[in-house]
Order: sequence, then C-alpha cells, then structure tokens
Amino acid sequence: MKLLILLITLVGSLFMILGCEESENDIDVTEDLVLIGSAVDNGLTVDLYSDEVLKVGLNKLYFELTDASDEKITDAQITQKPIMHMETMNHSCPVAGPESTPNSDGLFESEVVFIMASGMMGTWDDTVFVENQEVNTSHTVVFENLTVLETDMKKNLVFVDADMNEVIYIVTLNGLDDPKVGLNDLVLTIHKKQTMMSFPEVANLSVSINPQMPDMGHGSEGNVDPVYTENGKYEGSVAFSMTGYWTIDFTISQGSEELGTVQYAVNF
Amino acid sequence: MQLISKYLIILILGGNLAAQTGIVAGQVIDRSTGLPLVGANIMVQDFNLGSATDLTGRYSMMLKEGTFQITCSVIGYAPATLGVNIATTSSSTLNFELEPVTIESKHFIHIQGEKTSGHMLGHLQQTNLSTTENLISMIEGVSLIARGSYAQEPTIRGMSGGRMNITINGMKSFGACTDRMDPITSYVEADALNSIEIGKGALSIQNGSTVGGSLNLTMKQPQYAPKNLSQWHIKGGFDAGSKERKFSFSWNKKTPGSGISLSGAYRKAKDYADASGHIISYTGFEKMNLNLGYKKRLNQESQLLLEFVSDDAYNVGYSALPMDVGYARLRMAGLSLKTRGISPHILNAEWKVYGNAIDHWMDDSKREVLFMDMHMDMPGFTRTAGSYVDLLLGRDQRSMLKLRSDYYWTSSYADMVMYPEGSSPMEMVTWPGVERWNMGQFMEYQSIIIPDMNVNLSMRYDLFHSRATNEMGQDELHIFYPGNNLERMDHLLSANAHVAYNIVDNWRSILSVASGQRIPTVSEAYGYYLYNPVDGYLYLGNPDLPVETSRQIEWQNNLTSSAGSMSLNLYFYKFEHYIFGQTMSEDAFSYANGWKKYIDGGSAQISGLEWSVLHRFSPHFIFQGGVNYEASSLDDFQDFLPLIPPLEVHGSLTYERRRFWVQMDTRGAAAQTNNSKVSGENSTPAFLAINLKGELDILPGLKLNLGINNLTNQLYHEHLDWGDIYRPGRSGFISLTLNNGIMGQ
Repeated sequence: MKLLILLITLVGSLFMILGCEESENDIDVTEDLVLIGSAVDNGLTVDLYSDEVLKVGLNKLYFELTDASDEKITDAQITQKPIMHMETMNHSCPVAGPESTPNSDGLFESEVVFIMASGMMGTWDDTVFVENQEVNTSHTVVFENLTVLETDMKKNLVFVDADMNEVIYIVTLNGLDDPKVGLNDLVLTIHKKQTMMSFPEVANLSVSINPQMPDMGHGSEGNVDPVYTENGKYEGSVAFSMTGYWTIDFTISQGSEELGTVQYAVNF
Repeated sequence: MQLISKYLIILILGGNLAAQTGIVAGQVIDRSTGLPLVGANIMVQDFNLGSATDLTGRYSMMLKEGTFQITCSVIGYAPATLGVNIATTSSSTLNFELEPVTIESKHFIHIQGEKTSGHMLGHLQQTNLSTTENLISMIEGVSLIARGSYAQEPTIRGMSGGRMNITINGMKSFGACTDRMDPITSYVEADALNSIEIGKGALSIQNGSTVGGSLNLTMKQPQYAPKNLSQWHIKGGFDAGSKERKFSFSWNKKTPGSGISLSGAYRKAKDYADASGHIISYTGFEKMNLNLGYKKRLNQESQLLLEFVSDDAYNVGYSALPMDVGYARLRMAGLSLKTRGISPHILNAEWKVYGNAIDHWMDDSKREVLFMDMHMDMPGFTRTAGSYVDLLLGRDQRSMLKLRSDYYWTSSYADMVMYPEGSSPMEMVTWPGVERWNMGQFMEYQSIIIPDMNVNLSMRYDLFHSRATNEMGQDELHIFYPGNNLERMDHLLSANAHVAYNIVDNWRSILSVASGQRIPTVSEAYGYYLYNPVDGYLYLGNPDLPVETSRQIEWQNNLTSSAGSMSLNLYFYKFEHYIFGQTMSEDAFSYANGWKKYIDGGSAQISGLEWSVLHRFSPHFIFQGGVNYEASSLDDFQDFLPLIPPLEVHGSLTYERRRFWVQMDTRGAAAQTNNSKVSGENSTPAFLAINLKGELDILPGLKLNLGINNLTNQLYHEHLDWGDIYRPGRSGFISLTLNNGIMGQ
C-alpha cells in the first residue's frame, strides 16, 4: 500500500513538473508573422505584422502597441488608411478594422484588400491613428513604401444597373496559393468601389462557383458555393479532381439579378 | 483412365482357371507430391481380404488366381479402384496414385500432357496454343469477358472481379489494372498448369470468403523418380489468323530425393481478322513466361517446395478500350513445407509463405487517334505477401477435419497522368495506396454418415482491415466523403453444407446450401473516377459500402453408366447489398457519359441450370456436351444483372486411337436480350462456332497438332465481350512437340 501511494505521488509530481514546464513556455506569437514595419510616435511603438508578405488580395494585418517602458498596450482604438500614391492620383482600398479589442496575444487584427501591386505605377503607404485609452494620448504613424506583390487574384466586376449607372465590384480570390487535389477552402472578397477612397463591403450577394478543366472539358463535383461571413468575405470550397490547369468562375447575384461572372485561373 | 481400361481388358480376358495363388504388390503415392502414403488400406472387393501399406508406402498380398477389383483408400485422399488379373505363381504390380481429398463442392480439371480431364469434361482436347483462359472456360458455368484477344477474364455463372477469388497454388495475388485488364489468370501459362480447381458461389471457401466462386490454379510441380531422370520437351506453334507464334519448353530433373522443373513460353501475336476479313486493330501482344520449381524430400514424410513464377507481357492491345498495355509484369515466389504423420491425428500439414508483385502500365502511346490530342499513362501496382497453415485431422476413415489459418497483406496503388499539349500535365490518384490485410480461419468437416451418404460442413471467418494511405488520394475522396477516415474493418462469416447421397447405385445427388460474404474491392471502396468502357461512365468508390452477402442453394445430380455420365445442376443465389454503380451525374464531357458511384444496390438474384452429358459410342468415339442457362434480376433497379451469359450450348465429338485423335467441338449461344440496361449493356445476337483439331504421334517423341478454329467463319461476338468486338474469323493452326522420347528414352 505504501508503495502504491509512493508510486502515485511520484507519477503525480512528474505530471506536475511536466505541466509546469509547458506553461512556462512563453511563445512569442509574432515569430510566425512577417514584420512589415515599426514606427515610433511620442513614446508609442507601433509594430505592423502580417501573415505573409503583402500581396494583391486579402491580407491580414496585426498591430502591436508598446509604450516607452516596453509594456504592451491593449486598451486602444486604431484606425488605418492605406493609400496608393500614383503619378496622377491617389486611391485607397477595402479595409476592415483593426478591431477595438486585441486578440488573445495582445495584437489588434485588421484586414486589408490590396487592389494593386506596388512598383512602377505607384507606392502604398498606410497611415495609422492610435488613441491610447490607457493614458489618453493620440498618435499618428505612417508605414511608407509598403511592398505589395502582384497576383492575378483581383478582378473588377462592372455591372450596369437599370439606371445605366456603372457599379464596380472589386472581387479577390484568396486561399489558393498552394492548391491541391481535393477540397480547397477559399475566401472571395467583394467590395463596391464607391469613391477612390471608399470601398464598402457588399454583404447581401449570392455567389455560385463553377470550376472547369478546359483541357478535359469537365468540371468537378463537391464544390461549396461561397457564402457571406464578415467584412466582405464569402467563404466556400473548390474541388479540384486532378492536377492541371483549372478555371474557376464565380457568378455573383443580388437577389434574382445576376451581376456578372468573374473568372480566375489556377495551374498546379 | 488408360490404366483402368488396360486392366479392364486383362480382366475380361482372364479366364476361370484353377484356384492357385499369385502375388500382387505395389506402392501408393500422393499424386500431387509424389510422397508414399503410409497406412493406406488395400481392400479386395467382394472378398474379405485386405492389406495396408508400410512406411515406404508399399504393400503386397497373396491372392488366388483370378480377376479382382482392388480398392485403395486412405484418409484425406479420394479412394481409387483398379482391376488386376492374377495368374498362378506370378507377381503383379499394382501402383496407386491417390488424389488429395476432393471436396464435392469443387470441380477439378487436370491438365496432363495435352489432355484435359475432369468432372464431366472428360475429353476436351487441349492444343498447344490453348491459353489458361481457354482451359478454364471448359468448365460448366464459366464464361470469359474479352477486351481484346489477350487476358480474357473468367466469370463463374456471371460473377467476376471482386465476387471471385483467384489464387495460384493457394497464393493470393491481385491484378494491378484499374480496368481489370489483368485478371490473375493472365499471368499463368497453360503449359505450366497442372490443374484448375473451381468452386461455384460460396460452395468452396477454403481460399477466401467469396460470393461468386473461387478459382485455384495449381502449377506443375517438380517430381521425384526412383532413379535420376531428365525429361524435356520443346514446342513450336503458329496460328495463321493472328500470326501468333508460340515457343515453349520444359525441363525436369527427377531424383529420388529432389526434383527441379523449369518451363517457359514465349508468345507473340499480331492483330487478328474477324470473319469478314476486317482486321481488329489493337489485338496483338507479346508475352514471356517462366516457371521454376524445386522440391526436396526432407525425410520420408516431409518435403520442401520452392516455386517461382515470372510473367512479362508487352505491348498488349485492348481493342475494346481506348488504351493498351505497355507492360504487365508478375513476379511471384512461394515456399512451402508439407509433412505427414506429425501425430496419429494430424494426417497432413502444410505451411506456406509467399509474396508477389504486379506492375501494370497502361498507356495510349501506340494509338493514332488520341483522346483530345493528349497522351495518358495509367500505371498500377500491387504488392501482396501472405502465409497459411493447413492441417488435416482425422481419427478414422469416416470423418475428417480440415483447418486453415491464413493471413495476407496487400497494397494497391494506381494513378493517371494526362499530357495535354501546351498545358500542364493532369494527374489523379485512382487507387489511393490502399493497404488491406486479412486474417482468415477456415474449417471443414467431412463425414460418411452411412455408406451412401456424405456430409460436408465448412465455415470461414475473416477479419479485414483496409485503409487509403496516399495523401493525394485521401484528399480526392474527401471531396465526396468529408471527414471520412477512409478506413474500414470488416468481419465476414461464410458457411456451407453439402449432403451427398447415392439414391441408387449410379445416381448421386448432392444438396448444398451456402452463405457467403465479400468486402468491396479496392475500386469499389476507394476507386477514383475509374472509366468503364461498357457504359462509358466514370466510377467513384464508396468507402461506406456494406459487405455484400449471398445465400445459395444448389442441387446436383450425377448419373453414371458404363457408357458415360450425365449431370444436372440447379442453383439459386440471393444477394443482399449487391454492389452496383448508380448514376450520379449525366453531365457528359469528352469521353465520359457522366459518373456513377458504387452503392448498396439492394437485393439481386441469379438462378440457373447446368446440364452436361458424356457418352461413349465406342471406346474410341466419344460425345460430350452441355447446356447452361441463367436468369438474373436486380430488384431495386427492375433490371437484369450485367455480364450474365445467355443460354449456352457446347459439344464435342472425339475420335481417338492410340497414335492420334480428332475432335470437332462447337460452342454456341442464344441471343441475350436480358441485358442490363442500367449498366449500358447491349443485347447480343446468337452464334454457333465450330472448331476442328487433331493430333498425331509421328514418331515416339514427335507430335503434330493442327486444326482450324471457327471452321464456318462465323462473324460473331459473345455477350460478355466488351465493345462488341468480333472474335477471330476462320484460322488454321499448327504446332509440333518434340520431347526426350525422340532420344529413345
């Protein structure tokens, strides 16, 4: 009996030691992210991260705020305005967030849909306004000259309504950077180009998906039509039954009215 | 047979001379192993006389002058009776070669030299150009599916593929073609065959659980001889129709303690022409086969057998398919240990371990008209390894228990790559690296209840584990079965019972009932868009398919007379969870009409009869013939089952003398209009084809074999032939066999 108690105690303490070790592991969440830039304004450091290198399409951005004593600030309001500076004009792009409360890692998340690549045509910067509600200070920082890579995942859908007004929808396809045979989750973003500076999300659309293999003349079974989730995002799945060259048509409708079809190509 | 007739003649000639004594002596051996049988009973019929064999399998007896019928029996073997004439103070030799126990649920055909014998097919003659499939199709109820002239697929009573179990010397092996272009029978050369054992439906479950039947091909084995002996033969043949050339050889070294056999064959054929002279493109092929066997006697009771089979086919055309086979390759090895007399109750024990690999490369590189200007490759690979242990237990002559424990593992992978011009290659995995293992337990009990009544009960339990291991293949199937772990565990239980009763002396009646189960094949459970040219649909596997089950009842009647025999079988099968392809989409594109998925097709039925007759008009003039008819239904679809042969008739007339034989045989079928519409089958018109062949011993050791196939030049195809491709028109063939007899041996 004594032996049993001893054994239980031993095993128990072993578990506790192991458990402690795990909780002591302090994982730096930003290690898995790409640092886009750092800016300091009046003692406040703003670090801008993204999941990967910025590119045309949907990008998830993370803001980390730290004060002069290197303490993380979690009570803050952040707004941002990405602007593309071109020779003759400037324009913005669809933006959502950052959220008013940080995520569990203390990072403020936002989503930006870049609609153009940086380069010869112009440069992107992102102006960020921070209200530090812990000490009630305001800050403005600018992340200049952001590198945004080109993709062919952004399409414009031009719809002429009954009043002969041209409505431009900006549609981007995301999630197919590394396509595989089988079901691939995808995110389609749909925003309306209201002005050069305003791109509100469009939430009440229905989207149907139609992948095709032109070399074979067939489509695929098992696709899931994207449905609206949030921030102009429509989430669904595309099924690739084999490798090769695929086209994917998304037909976008508002109620019974078809706004049009955008086509993407995937080759793997 | 010849031996019996020889002694029958002696028996008739023997007169009633004065009662003096003579000696009869001989040895009893196992025909399949050549080992002596210890303790065999030797009984003289109608006299209360008997003897038994000693440790070397020998016996001797004193008999009065006269003629006697002597029966030799030993547990585990079919008894044999031979006649002997005893003359005064003479000594006669009477050797028995006993066949290991033959269960009445199985049918055997034996291939000995150029003759094929077996239950009710006594005298169908084999020619040098016969293929394994030709031999199998001689059995009542067996039909062949042709996709070209090569590798025809056997069906038993309309059931094939996964409904059947095909083994080579008891070894499991699985074809590597997703389109079933390589049934296992195609990897065995007819020259190398010793016998074919057929079990219909679930009546024979020793080699695996099944619903449709089992087919075990046994190969010629090395043999012993009392003194060192070397035997050989070479054969060469030519068929004018397909320009097929065939060369084969065999060499056997026999010693008292060991035997080696080596045989090989090479065949090459061009496209054949049908009866209208039209060349059927893509029917040519080339093939090379090698068999090596080594047998060693370890002691009086045990022996070791090592066997190796290698088969390579190249450039095999499949006229009924859009593709051909670049190569199909089998490598197979087995090692077995057989022993008798471990203990008084264990009569026989065998342990075997084996492995084989099949690589199959299907492509369309030889085709001129390519599908949408692209080439495609469809390679497939299977690997199998297994082992079994057989035990034959018995206490006395009246009852016996046979046990088998078997185990095998197999893996199947296939994919398809298409190369569109100016675009990316397109690849899909069609067999997602399916790994399957099976553990089976089989037992069979045989008992003679009363002298004229035998009872035979057998049972089998199987545990199967299957899973898809290839990641890309898993992703593909997850499109249709999200969240499915693509793994399955199946428990199968099969059983059957036979009661055989001699109603009168020459009328034996056998009533059998059986219950069988089978798991879905790799294609049925995990196949991915496999094209079926019969209906033009792509087929998708279904990992959630239930186990298919069958119930079977069968009544066989055999009548024998001095002039021949006649048999009539009536049978009925009822299936549940019949696996069947259901149309999911009729969106046609390029080459396919849409796609289908394997589903639980509900209940199905097959019923039919097989009637056959053998009659000797004289000792030299023999008629043999038969009729098969089968009806089927797939209840939920209000349709017939696919691949069901129509009413078939066959017959042969043989005239044989000591140095030659001539045979005319005919095969015909009524029109099949009960075709499966859901499966896209057409109806097929009736036909009757006649072949003529003969053989002459020119010299001792030199034989000439020739004949004409499709004598009347009928333009026909059979119902089971894919793509309604016509069979060859009239063509003559000739072959020569030379053996060591020419050396005066």
